[in-house]
Amino acid sequence: MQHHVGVLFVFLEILSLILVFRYNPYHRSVFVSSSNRLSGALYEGTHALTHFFSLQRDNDRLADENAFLKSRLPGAFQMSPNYIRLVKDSLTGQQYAYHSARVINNSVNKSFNYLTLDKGSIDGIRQETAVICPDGIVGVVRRVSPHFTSVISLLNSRLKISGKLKESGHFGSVSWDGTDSRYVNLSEIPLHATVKPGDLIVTSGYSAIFPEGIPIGTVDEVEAEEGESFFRIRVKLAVDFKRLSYVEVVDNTYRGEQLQLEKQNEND
Amino acid sequence: MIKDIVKHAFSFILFLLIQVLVVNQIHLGWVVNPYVYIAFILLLPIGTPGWLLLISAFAMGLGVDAFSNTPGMHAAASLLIAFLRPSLHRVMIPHDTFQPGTQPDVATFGLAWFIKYVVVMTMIHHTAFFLLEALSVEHMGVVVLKAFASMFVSVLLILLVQLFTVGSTKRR
Repeated sequence: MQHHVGVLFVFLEILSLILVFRYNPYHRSVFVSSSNRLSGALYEGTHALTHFFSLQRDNDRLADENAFLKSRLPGAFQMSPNYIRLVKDSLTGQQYAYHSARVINNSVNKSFNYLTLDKGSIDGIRQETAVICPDGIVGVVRRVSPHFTSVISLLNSRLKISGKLKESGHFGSVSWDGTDSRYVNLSEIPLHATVKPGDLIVTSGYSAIFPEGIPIGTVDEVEAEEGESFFRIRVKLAVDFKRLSYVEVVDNTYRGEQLQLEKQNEND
Repeated sequence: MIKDIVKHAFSFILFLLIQVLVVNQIHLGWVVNPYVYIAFILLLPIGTPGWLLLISAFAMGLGVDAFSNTPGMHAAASLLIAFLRPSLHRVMIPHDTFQPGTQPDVATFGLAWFIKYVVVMTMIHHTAFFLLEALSVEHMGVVVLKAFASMFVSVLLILLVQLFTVGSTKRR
């Protein structure tokens, strides 16, 4: 009898480990994901309750954002060239489509953090699109079910994002080290670049997911290790991940075209 | 018999909900991630067949995984403590008081025994879980720190839950 229990233990343990190690950010079992139907519905229910307590703060933020948007109306004043340009219009149409969504589940203290949004494929949200909020970038859409969206947060060591120094234009990769939810690291900035604390880090726009120039954060610490050819830069995030409640999903409608073109280079 | 099944099914749902809706939502900094749901596995009656322990723990682990985006990690750690539980009981419970069917809780064996029991099981579970979580991140110091810090909070929370249930049995 003891023997059989041992066999069952080994069998189930292997099953669990397969689940753990078969993990891949983009193809994951539908069963275990917070965008699945049951957990999504449950989180939405509890969020309806807890949402009430953050109403005041959310209203303030929405009011701020309204003011910001009004200030950007064409008639408001002459556009300064320093403005972060979110939408690139051309004769052929809009490159970036925006959907607003509410965060119904969020974590910041795990090694791999995810968010769940209350909109899904029915609302036109697609995989591999950017998630931002008024303060800066939040993450990338990973899975979409009809009514919910699971987002891989910037606070997830599996996500790497291309960022650049706004002043000099040098670009590197931004990733989280799995510890403090207020900071991320910017690597691959060469030593000949000029970096000082307080410099703004924005998205580079090279990944075809994020539009160019969305704030990521500001330089907090710069270190130049001896014998290495890159800076070690600690970045203070622009977004307070503990207080996310409304976000925008940005869909680059030309992403497919760009990727297809770039893919042809691989065959050269 | 049926009453017991209903009681433990209820406790299963209760601990799952406490874990995902309350404990997972409390942010105590990145080091402390308490996992209270394992109390369900610890509190199943003494002498529960091994296969039933394993199946219950697996279901509980997968349930928590489904809500935390950690496929298989909680399931693997829970299976480990479910497997070790009968051996630990044989070591920790004196033969003359070993009565199948009783719950291994404060009411049966006293507070000191229960704390010892919870600390050992939580330590095994948390170490396994955080090791598994970190395999792909390479932060060994962080694993030990997280396991110990979270263990203290988990044990405190499980004791707190026990205090409530002990109070209600006395009143009954």
